[in-house]
Amino acid sequence: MKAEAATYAAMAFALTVLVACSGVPSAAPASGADPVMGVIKDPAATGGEQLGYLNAATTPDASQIIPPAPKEGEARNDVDWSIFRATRSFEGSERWKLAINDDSYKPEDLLKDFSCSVDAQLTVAKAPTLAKILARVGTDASNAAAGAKNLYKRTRPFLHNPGNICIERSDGLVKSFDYPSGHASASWVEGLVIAELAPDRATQVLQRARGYGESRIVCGLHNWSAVESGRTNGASVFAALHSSQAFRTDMAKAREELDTARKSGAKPDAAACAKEAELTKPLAVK
Amino acid sequence: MKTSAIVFGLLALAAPAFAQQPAQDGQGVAAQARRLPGYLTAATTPDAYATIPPAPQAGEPRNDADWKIFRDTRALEGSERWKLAQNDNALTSADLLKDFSCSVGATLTRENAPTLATLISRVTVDAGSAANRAKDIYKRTRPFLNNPGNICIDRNGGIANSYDYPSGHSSLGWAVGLVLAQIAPDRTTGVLARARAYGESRIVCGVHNWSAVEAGRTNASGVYAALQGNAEFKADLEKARAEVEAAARSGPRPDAAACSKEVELSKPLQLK
Repeated sequence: MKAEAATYAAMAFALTVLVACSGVPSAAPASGADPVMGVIKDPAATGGEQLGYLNAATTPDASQIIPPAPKEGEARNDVDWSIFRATRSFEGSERWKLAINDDSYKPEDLLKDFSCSVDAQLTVAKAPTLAKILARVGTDASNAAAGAKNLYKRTRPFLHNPGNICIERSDGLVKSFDYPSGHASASWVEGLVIAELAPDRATQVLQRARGYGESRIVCGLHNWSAVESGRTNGASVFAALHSSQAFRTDMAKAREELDTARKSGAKPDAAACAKEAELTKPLAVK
Repeated sequence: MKTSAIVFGLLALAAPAFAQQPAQDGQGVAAQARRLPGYLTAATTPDAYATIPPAPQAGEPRNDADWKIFRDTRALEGSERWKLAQNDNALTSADLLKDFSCSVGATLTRENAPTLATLISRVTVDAGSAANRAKDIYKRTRPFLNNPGNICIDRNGGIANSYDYPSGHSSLGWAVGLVLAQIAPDRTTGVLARARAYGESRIVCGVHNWSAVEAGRTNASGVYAALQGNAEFKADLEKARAEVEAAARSGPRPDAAACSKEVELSKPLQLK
């Protein structure tokens, strides 16, 4: 909930910067620091880890890449709202609880959330570089989404349909936009990062990453279309990241951390992992 | 039977050096024995059945949207966008090099980018392999079999014998787009707009549902991530990068008028 509000504050900030930069996706930091357009500051030098790896020139612009946001009266909008209403029946279920869990995107929580899928207990202590990557690529995903969010200004499904959501309704949620989902964008690029580091677990990792994005639908915060487009945006960011030397250097370190954790570390709880695998099966919606 | 057709169809995509005509889904059985392999193994190929959403079923809102979009987009018949969809039906490496030349900013051919051509063929195989199990489990049929209206290619050419979800064309177009974005990072947005349009051409053509094209992108991004863990792919990628840089430096520029027309036609597909 706090994380959610912080993100949307950051996104609103990114949007402001975006406008200031005449529509070019910016490398705005997710904190309140003054952005420098087109420059990636070294986070070690600034003491923060909210900066992304990409700059204005290398950040893909989702507004040109993803499909348009559905509008009222269109078939895709009917799908979105129908799915919102249908998924209100999940309230209180195990899947609902997973959606509440997935509201957090702090690196320590993400490492825990992906632990089952890579079959290793991941923590910030064991995988500090991976933790840093997850934070930074999340910022890149938000920055890439900002242009489209601001172009379409699509509002969230719970503002148009009756039903509860899985977290507290905040001002930040009401005032921030739906399309594409920043959470789905970030979790998909994070899943792709981890799949690259553990290609033999790619299926499980990406199942979890899809489940993480779908948690936004179950929670009622995002439309189905916004989560789909989040994956497209996340993949775009992932491709762009491979041209960042800092990203590649961090990935090499993260691979060592992950390999060590997988070889010698403790395994995640088998029963909990089986339950998670069951809950992250493709979301069937009538 | 249908599964075999799909498998052979995907394998056929891998043999551009032997394909004399643009291949189509469901064609190219004879090419099977001469195919190039993908880079990934069974162990490192992501299984789209786990990574993509389920295929819509009749009666579900997603199915209603798919079929409505099919019917609405029949109005594009004969338009410039329809012609682009016909063009995008071709999927040999030579065709893809041509189709992405504008967005990359270099005239790419099999002669000036031989490693990239091979890489594209092999990535195409991997994108198809990742999709196969989901196609076979969902067995979703194509929209033109369930709705009235023309499609942009010959409906008797084998297309009806293979499955809709996820789209193999959208998968391979998005995978190739991600690869080219990695090779030409200053062109990422344009390259990926073209890659999305390449998948959307299947919707315009009428041979794939909207949902299948969306799921194709999800499938392909998983394949692309898995490829980053493959040493052979990475070595080829660096060679391909040098080829593209040389072509951009010294080769002829793609035709500016044709490229601006393509950019216009590749804008996100507007639907009602």
